[in-house]
Amino acid sequence: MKDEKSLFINIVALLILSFMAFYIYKVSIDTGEGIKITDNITPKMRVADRFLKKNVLDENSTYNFSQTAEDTSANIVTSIVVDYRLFDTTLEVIVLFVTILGFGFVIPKDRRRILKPSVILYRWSPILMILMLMIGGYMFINGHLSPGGGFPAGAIISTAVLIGVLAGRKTVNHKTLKVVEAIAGISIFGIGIASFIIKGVFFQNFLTGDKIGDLFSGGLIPVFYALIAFKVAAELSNIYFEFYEEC
Amino acid sequence: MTQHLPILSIISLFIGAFIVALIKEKNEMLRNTIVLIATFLSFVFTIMMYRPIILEGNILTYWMGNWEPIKDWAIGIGLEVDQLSLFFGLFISLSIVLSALYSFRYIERETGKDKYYVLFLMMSASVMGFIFTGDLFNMYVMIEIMTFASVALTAFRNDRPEAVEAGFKYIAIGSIGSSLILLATVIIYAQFHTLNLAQLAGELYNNYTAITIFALALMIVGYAVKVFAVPTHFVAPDAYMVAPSSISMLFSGIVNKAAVYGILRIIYVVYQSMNLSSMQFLLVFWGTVTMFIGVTMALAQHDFKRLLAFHSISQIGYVLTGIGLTTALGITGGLYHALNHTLFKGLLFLCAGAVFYATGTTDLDKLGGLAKRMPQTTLIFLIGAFSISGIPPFNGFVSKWIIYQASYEAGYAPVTIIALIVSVMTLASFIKVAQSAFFGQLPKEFKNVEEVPLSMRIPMWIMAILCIVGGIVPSTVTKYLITPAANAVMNSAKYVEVMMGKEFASKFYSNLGSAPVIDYKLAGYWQPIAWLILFGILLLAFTLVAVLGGFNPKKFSYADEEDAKYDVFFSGESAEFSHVGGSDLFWGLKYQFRHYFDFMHKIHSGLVNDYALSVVLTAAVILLYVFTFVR
Repeated sequence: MKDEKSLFINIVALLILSFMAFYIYKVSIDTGEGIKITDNITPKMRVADRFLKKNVLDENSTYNFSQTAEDTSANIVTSIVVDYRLFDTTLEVIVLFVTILGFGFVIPKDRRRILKPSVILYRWSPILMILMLMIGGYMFINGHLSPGGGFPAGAIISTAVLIGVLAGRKTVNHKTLKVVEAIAGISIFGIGIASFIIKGVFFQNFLTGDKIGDLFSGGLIPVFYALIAFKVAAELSNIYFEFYEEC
Repeated sequence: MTQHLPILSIISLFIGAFIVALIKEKNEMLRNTIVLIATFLSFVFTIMMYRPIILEGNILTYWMGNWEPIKDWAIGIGLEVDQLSLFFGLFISLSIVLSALYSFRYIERETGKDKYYVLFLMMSASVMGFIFTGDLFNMYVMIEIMTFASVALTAFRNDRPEAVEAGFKYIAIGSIGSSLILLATVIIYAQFHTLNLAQLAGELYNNYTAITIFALALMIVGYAVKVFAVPTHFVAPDAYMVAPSSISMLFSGIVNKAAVYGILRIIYVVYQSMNLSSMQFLLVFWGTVTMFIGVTMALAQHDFKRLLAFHSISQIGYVLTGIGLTTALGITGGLYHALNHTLFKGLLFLCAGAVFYATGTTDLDKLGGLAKRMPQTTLIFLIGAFSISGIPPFNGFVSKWIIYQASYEAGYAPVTIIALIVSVMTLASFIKVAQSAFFGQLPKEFKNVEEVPLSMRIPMWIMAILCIVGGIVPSTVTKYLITPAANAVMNSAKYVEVMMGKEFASKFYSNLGSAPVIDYKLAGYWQPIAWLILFGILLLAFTLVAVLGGFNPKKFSYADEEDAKYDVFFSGESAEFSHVGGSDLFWGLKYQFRHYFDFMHKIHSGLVNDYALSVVLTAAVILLYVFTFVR
């Protein structure tokens, strides 16, 4: 496969894709409902509102059990997962880490030769990967505002890596994944220690004073979600490398 | 600073694990240094908690992320370290340090060392977290890490097929146990909408409903699978045998002990079923069956580590019996035996590892005469064997004595007799090991074996010295370690009061502030120092006779000729220098009880389906028992 040809085909594919996206957008606008990519209207109801009957924009409204318990994230599930019970979440990520590391011992490696993938998969895999990475990134960045979060985002990102492997393209290698995994793990505990130095308690959310519902709100929650997403993505991508050895 | 110590001792191990994961496999020096620093830091932080908790009698609490309970309702994760937790934490963190020290030379010839140390640190950290946490779901997550890390380390030598097989069995059985614990956790959470142990203890005080009893039964079975009580023990020998010895030591020393702690914490502190005679009977009966079946299976083994694994099961039976008696004396004995079991069983596993390191096998039929080549290991092994068999100046005697006395006083005289018989059988099987591995004829292929390196001998000597110390000064050990822990077990009101505040506790308990008085007298006229002197005199006399040539007039020689005369001794004739094979030493006993042994061999079929079935059956029986008798 020559490079000029592949570049050309990629450009054509991207053009087709963008045309399709534009068409869908146009149709939805014409029908009146519309897909609002940019939203200037400030929403009045958020997820927390639906679950807890609490208006997150009103400073005086309170959470069921306390006045101060939910003062950071608009999504109460995220508050529970990454703030009240952050230690458990960290440990769950470690369970995944230990499992995948350990199963390399229990199930010995197979030798595997990748057959030449079909041209369609080979050409389309970068496009699919870009879309998957975008969705994954969106999910962990918006984890504190809407359903989603670090775990599913990591799973989606790892699927992108897997498609790259299946298509025979070089994406990331084993060592990079290990380094990402370990650094993300150290950073989670490192931020925990940082909060010990700043606030005096481990795993406390020390970035406060932002407006609920903003993209950059929730203090440390998006940071932790990003770290968890990277760690989960690296761990799940590692499954392939743990079980197969290319020859 | 003091209140941060629990989380620091957990977190230093976790961070150590991630840093080790970053280091390349070749860079051995740096990795060993980091492992040693992480484990040692954790040990130091645990030691630093000794003064505030045990000497001053405080209970440390710590709310992660400062999520303190609001309106008596805990929404965050709380750590709570009382005397019981600290008692377990002290010897667990010590054995982690010793195991790390031992590993450096022991696994130097293996591949995959980077993964080994990551998993090692993860397992240690999860056990420390399990001991120090005060949250039901956090306990479950820690158990999950513990199980998966144990499975992976079981299959560490995955060039041997039996290692992979044992790993597979362990994951099947371990997952069933974890699932039962998770199900119980979910049920309790659905019922009380909280996961904090102290709050649950308050809510559960005199409040047994069908649902909570269901959860209790599931918890008991789940932790029994983790502790390898008898009908669920089948996977333990396989796992202990193939894992590296430094890990087998941790399996019996810390993973089992964590499950014992779980039983104590859940059944006694959270459910407060101390005074239910049905629960006492269940644990005592279960413990007795466990100790008996474990030791009889150990008699029939001919692999060093497999034999030790069955002894581990048997000794856990003593612990279960002791804590099941629920008297002050019984709990003291159970906790003391838990401590001693970690010391002497860790010591024996390390000896088995030393034998494996030197000779490459742990099969008792192939070994022999290593005492000439490895004198220090032999001496250490003898200390461990005397301790586990309960010979007076060593620590095993003290805890076993307390358990005999407690069971007799509580009216379980048959249990006392069985415990005595089990102790004798323990001694018998260790005579077998000593005779087959360390004494007798040195096989030709082992004539060049050497003593293990110093870094492997240091942990063994530390544990051996602790074994002797625990036997000579039992009253000091009891006063400064065991009695506070036993007190904490019996005083769950204080646990609730410290964690959730006085107002919350006074809603449920009327007897706040009145600690139970632990008052008992050790029966008998034994003086540890006198026993030590007697033992020393006997040893001296024995050595004198041996040196003067009283036992073996001819000079020692290994069989250097290919002669049938020097083969393993299989028949009943006696000949000079012939070596009785390990499996043949007690052939008379085995012949007389052949039906029993045949039956036991049939049950230990090696099929994971059978093992899973036995766990499920146990769960069914315990459910029936608990629903019928526990009120």
